[in-house]
Amino acid sequence: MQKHWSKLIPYILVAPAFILMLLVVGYPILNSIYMSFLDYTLFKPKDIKFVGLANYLKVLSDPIFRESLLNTVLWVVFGVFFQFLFGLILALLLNRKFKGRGIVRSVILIPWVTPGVLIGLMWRWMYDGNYGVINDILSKLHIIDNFIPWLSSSDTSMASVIITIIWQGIPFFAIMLLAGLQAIPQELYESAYVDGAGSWHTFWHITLPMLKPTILISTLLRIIWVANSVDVIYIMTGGGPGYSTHTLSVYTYIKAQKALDFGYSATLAIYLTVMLASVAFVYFKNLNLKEVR
Amino acid sequence: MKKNLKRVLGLVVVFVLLASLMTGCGGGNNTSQPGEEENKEGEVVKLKHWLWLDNPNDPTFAQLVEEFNNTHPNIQVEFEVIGWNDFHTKLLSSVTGGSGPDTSSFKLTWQPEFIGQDALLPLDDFLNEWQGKSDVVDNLWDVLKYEDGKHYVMPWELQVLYMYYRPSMFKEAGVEVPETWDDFLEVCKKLTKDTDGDEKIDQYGFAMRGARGGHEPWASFVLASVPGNTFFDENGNCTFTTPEAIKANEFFLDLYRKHKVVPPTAPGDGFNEIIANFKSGKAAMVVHHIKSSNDMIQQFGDDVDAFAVPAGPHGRWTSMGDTENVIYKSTKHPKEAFTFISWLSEKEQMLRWCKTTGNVPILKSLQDEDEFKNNRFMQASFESMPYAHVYPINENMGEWIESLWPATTQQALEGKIDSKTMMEILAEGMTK
Amino acid sequence: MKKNKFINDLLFFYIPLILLIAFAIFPYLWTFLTSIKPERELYTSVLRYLPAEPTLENYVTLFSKSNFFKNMWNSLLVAGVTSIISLFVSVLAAYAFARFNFKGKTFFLGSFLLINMFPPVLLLTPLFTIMRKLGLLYTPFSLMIAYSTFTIPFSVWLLTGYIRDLPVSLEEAAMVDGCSRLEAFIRITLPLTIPGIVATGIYIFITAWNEFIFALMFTNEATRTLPVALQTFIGQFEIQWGLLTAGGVVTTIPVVVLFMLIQKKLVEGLTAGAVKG
Repeated sequence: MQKHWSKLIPYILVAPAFILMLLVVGYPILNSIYMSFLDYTLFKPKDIKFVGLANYLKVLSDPIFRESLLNTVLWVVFGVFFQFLFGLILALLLNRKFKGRGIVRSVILIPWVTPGVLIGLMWRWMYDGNYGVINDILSKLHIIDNFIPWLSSSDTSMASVIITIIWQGIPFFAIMLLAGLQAIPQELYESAYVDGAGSWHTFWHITLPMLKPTILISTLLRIIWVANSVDVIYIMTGGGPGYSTHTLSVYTYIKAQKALDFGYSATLAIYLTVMLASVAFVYFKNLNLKEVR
Repeated sequence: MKKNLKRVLGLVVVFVLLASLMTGCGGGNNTSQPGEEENKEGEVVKLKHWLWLDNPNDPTFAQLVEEFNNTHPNIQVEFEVIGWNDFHTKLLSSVTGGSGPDTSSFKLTWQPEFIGQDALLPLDDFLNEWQGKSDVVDNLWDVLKYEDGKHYVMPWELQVLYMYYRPSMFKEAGVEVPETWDDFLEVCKKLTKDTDGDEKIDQYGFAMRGARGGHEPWASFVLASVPGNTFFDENGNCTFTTPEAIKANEFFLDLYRKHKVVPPTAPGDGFNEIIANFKSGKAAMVVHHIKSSNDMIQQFGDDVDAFAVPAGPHGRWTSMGDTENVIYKSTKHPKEAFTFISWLSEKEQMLRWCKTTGNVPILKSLQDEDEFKNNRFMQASFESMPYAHVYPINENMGEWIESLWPATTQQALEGKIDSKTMMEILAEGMTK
Repeated sequence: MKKNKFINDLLFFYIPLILLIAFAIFPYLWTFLTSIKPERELYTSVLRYLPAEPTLENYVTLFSKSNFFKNMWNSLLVAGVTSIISLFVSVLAAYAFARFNFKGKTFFLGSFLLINMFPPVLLLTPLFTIMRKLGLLYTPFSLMIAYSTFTIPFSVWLLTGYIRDLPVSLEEAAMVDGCSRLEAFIRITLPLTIPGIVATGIYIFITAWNEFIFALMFTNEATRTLPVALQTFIGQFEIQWGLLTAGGVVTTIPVVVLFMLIQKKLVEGLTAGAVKG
């Protein structure tokens, strides 16, 4: 009896979270999956047809989809990698004791706390090719000769929006990794110090392995978040110039909210979800999260 | 250690309390859905109105509603201001989800999705009874008619696009106001120069808009070269792919690609940037409407003026901006709703609204008011009215305006596609 | 030797720290400078960094003419309650994932992740209908429920990682001493997980604080949160730069201050715990 009961404990613990998820997003997601098999635009709500896999095939021959896919890869890979790199550096720096650490730790949250609308508008203004502060500073430092139309040229637009998302995401990694660093028992460092290990050595052999679970989870979560983010790109470039900053989520947003083509946008969303799920799968397969501990 | 236990227990208590609050609240709200009560004689009717405002701190609309509520004791209007950027999203989702307002501000281009869902109330029966109908400026009722021949919107705000320019810059460059697009190019060339001697161009002729919303000034270039100035010819074919239109588009693209008389940022410039370029003196001309005039006067005083968009071989075409008010079919009180939205468009209210917001009055009887007669920007608006039109309204246009036009134009400006290809894509997107 | 350490510190600590802080702060600083510039100084042919005539007018207008305090309170309420619900539910689930082996574990963990991969834009209309049917539309509860649901998956994953990092042996020792499983968890594991719980709490709080599109749909003027209120300063033909930037500056302050306080308490709490333990 006792044993039977304890087998149920984990299910009871997971139940509140799972039931809430199921109640709130279960139906909307199923509804979207259903819509992806329909020819459904808001203009003709009485003329909804079941079209099977037609939307899925249409996506594959859509040149904008292909360009968006490529952009999504750039956006996610560069965005998340540099967020992580700078976030890790910041976390290591902030893990050291120094005067005013508490204030610095709070202040670096600012980019993360700023609403997306404001981020988009302010960065757009700072990037402006005629009187933007970025051009002004770079030309005063004699790094550039002429002002560069950052967001108006497809050569620089993607890099520019990626820098903005890096800026926005550094605090997330800094906070998450800092929490991970704080959980590492001090004794490990002390014994390494006694053994005469250098700081590079301790970082590589103690800090990084101990942080690995946190790193894996936070990067995966960030990949999902960045892949799904719309507001910064949409406000800064609207997906342009041309289709140079169109990502899948921007394309899904435009199809859903501007073209009001619910069937097609649901299909795009499912493609994106399946791709993210396979990234997660490969991630776990290769990095073997379960064996970390 | 005990402290921790206490904290966790505290959390549990809060959570349980919240859960009970939620269920309690849910039950209470279910019984009284707003607007469900029947309208009995003598009872006060409540109306919900949604709108966006350019200046959310301007109290004029609140004052108007208060006055309406005071003068119409049987109707109480409550209004909610929602940001412009997401007004359409919120309105559409709310109406689709069954919880929209009784009345709201509206754009003509939104008609397909709302009428497609059978959400808008046709106003013709009410309009025929409305005394202000014949005072509305000529041709406006035609412009506002939907493709099924019915009127779903009550005209409210109107703007006409014209060209702003800086007289001082014109004088310095020794140029006159251009009459035709060819003159315009010559003027632009002379206005594009280095003003401070560092051998870098820092003043451009024209603030071109290559990002979202640029389709409106763009059409002034293209349709002025199309016979009849229409998007579709009599056979229903899109005129964009005619040789004249492709050539006119080439002319537009070359302002950036070849002549470089517009700022190098043009492909990415939206509304904010073109206005900022003009205000900061980076550009000598910009296409916009009356709503920018107060700001411009504040910035430049007398050193800003207006002229009608230049003419092409087939005359002029300019774009009309609009805001209307509509009634939703879901309202329980269509009669009272019409009383409200028609009251907003009546003479006295219209006068107050146009004075504070700088809109062009939609009533003929108001155009002779001194306030408007002596305003050079109002005059430019009135002058442009006869050839002011709107884009076709159909279900393709939402995506066409928001995404297809900017993306395709930007590709052409960057030289990735030529003028012909651009026009073919745009024509196809309009008719698919 | 000492000089060497100083140069080392400078190169590998102070310079990178200052550069990173500068990068993080600069756009905010620029926003602030914009908010104290009078309108006519925004567009000048030569860029001006400091305002010639600084003004606090925008802040006065913000607080006197708009409902900014009310919006801020709504945001605090929604983000605060969301954090509590989401953390509570997530800690339970994370404990199960980190400490138990049970059938369907991978399924549960996987489905949590999968749900969060779906673009939220598409959930908007169906969720709106659900909230309307529940009678929760235009109440703060609709946002609390929605945000809790959106943040639970990430939180469960993060917390699972943090708990898994802690050695099981401590708990087992406590259980040998006669503690029940729950007691062992609350007394031993939970206090040690506090840095992770705080980090996760910050994630939940900020997500709820910044969320825009659902806040737009599920609120009216009385229950409106800050990001939606900020958006009303962006008109069709006019951006109220002054109010928008002033609003942006003000929006970030409560969270930063809140975090500062939590952190102070946290540091005190951790040292106190260490002494007692």
